[in-house]
Amino acid sequence: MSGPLVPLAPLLLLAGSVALVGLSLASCSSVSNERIGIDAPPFSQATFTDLNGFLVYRCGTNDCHGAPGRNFLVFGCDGLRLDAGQTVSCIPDDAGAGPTTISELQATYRSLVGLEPQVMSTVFQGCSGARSPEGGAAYPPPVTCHPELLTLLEKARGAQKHKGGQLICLTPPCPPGIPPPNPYDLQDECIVTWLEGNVNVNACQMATFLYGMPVADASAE
Amino acid sequence: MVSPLGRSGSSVLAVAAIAACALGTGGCYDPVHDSEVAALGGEAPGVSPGPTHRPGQPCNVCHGGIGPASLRFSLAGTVSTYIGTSQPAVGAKVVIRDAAGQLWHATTNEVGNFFILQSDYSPTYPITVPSILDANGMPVKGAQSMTTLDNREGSCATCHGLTPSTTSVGPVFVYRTLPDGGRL
Repeated sequence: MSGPLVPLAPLLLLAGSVALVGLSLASCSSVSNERIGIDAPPFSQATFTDLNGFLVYRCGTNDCHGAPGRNFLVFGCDGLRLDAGQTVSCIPDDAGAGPTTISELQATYRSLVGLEPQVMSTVFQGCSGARSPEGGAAYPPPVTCHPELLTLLEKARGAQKHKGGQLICLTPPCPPGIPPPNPYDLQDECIVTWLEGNVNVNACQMATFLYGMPVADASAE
Repeated sequence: MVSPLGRSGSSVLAVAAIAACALGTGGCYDPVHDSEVAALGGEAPGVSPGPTHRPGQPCNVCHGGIGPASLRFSLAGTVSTYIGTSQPAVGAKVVIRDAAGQLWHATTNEVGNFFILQSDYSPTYPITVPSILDANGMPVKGAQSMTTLDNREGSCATCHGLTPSTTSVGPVFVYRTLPDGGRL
């Protein structure tokens, strides 16, 4: 079958013009400039202080996530300070040392929840509200909670390459310096219960002191 | 004129040569490391490279294995006698404890420098420095103890820079108080 040929050039020109006008209109139309929300455990000084203390001690030394160039930054008095006038040390002095400030807690919080915003939202949606039968923090987490999606935990658990090595041990054998879970790893419990929105403060405090605590006086050994 | 390899063979050779050159030069060039080395500046007048040079500087920038120094340290640093002073702690014993529970110590020299060769001891991180002992190996009353972990860094000065700042606690020292009992 044959027929008259339709000239293509005018049609293409017309289609291109329509597309251009469409694009122009789209670029002029209102684009939402609202901040993109992240579903994450809400910040509060009461719930974040102990988690931050653990993170500073375990992750936030000045040679690791307390160094300014890192994606995941942890702020605190024994690590990276937030304000230019502050110096490293929790013991107050005239040089600018002193306890961790609420601004530093907030800065760590922002870094933590903003590291992988979409994943954080997914994890929080699955973990939020998990409670033990007694009403406390649920650990191990319920099956709907997948904290392992977060790179933060994957690295700490040794499931991804981590310059600082494996820090959390869920199943023995554990690397040197990491106590085997008894029955759980308190560091993991601290982070996961925070993701559930019901941080186990005791786990965070214990984790700060149990894992790699310096010996007070090695000369006694 | 066409070479025995033909035109396509020549092209492949040319590309390979360019790639080899790029690898050869790029493989030896680390601008970050080079800038870190450059930032240390030159040697102090009258001091040659050796155990007493560059006190207070992050030793492993050059001695960590990338160069330019050939001697490789696992840990190294400088210790002052008193907080806030540059008076070297001579003969102090820096005790290191690693994650495997192993203890090691190094003694500071006349400028307060100490270093541990990688070939002698490579710690399992994280490490701590639980105490600094005096020249007789005795615990020093009032001596500082490191209360945080060192997770990877072999140079003390990386975190113990000469001036306290948002990323530095200040130099390593033995005594928090001056001989007269006062503080700076």
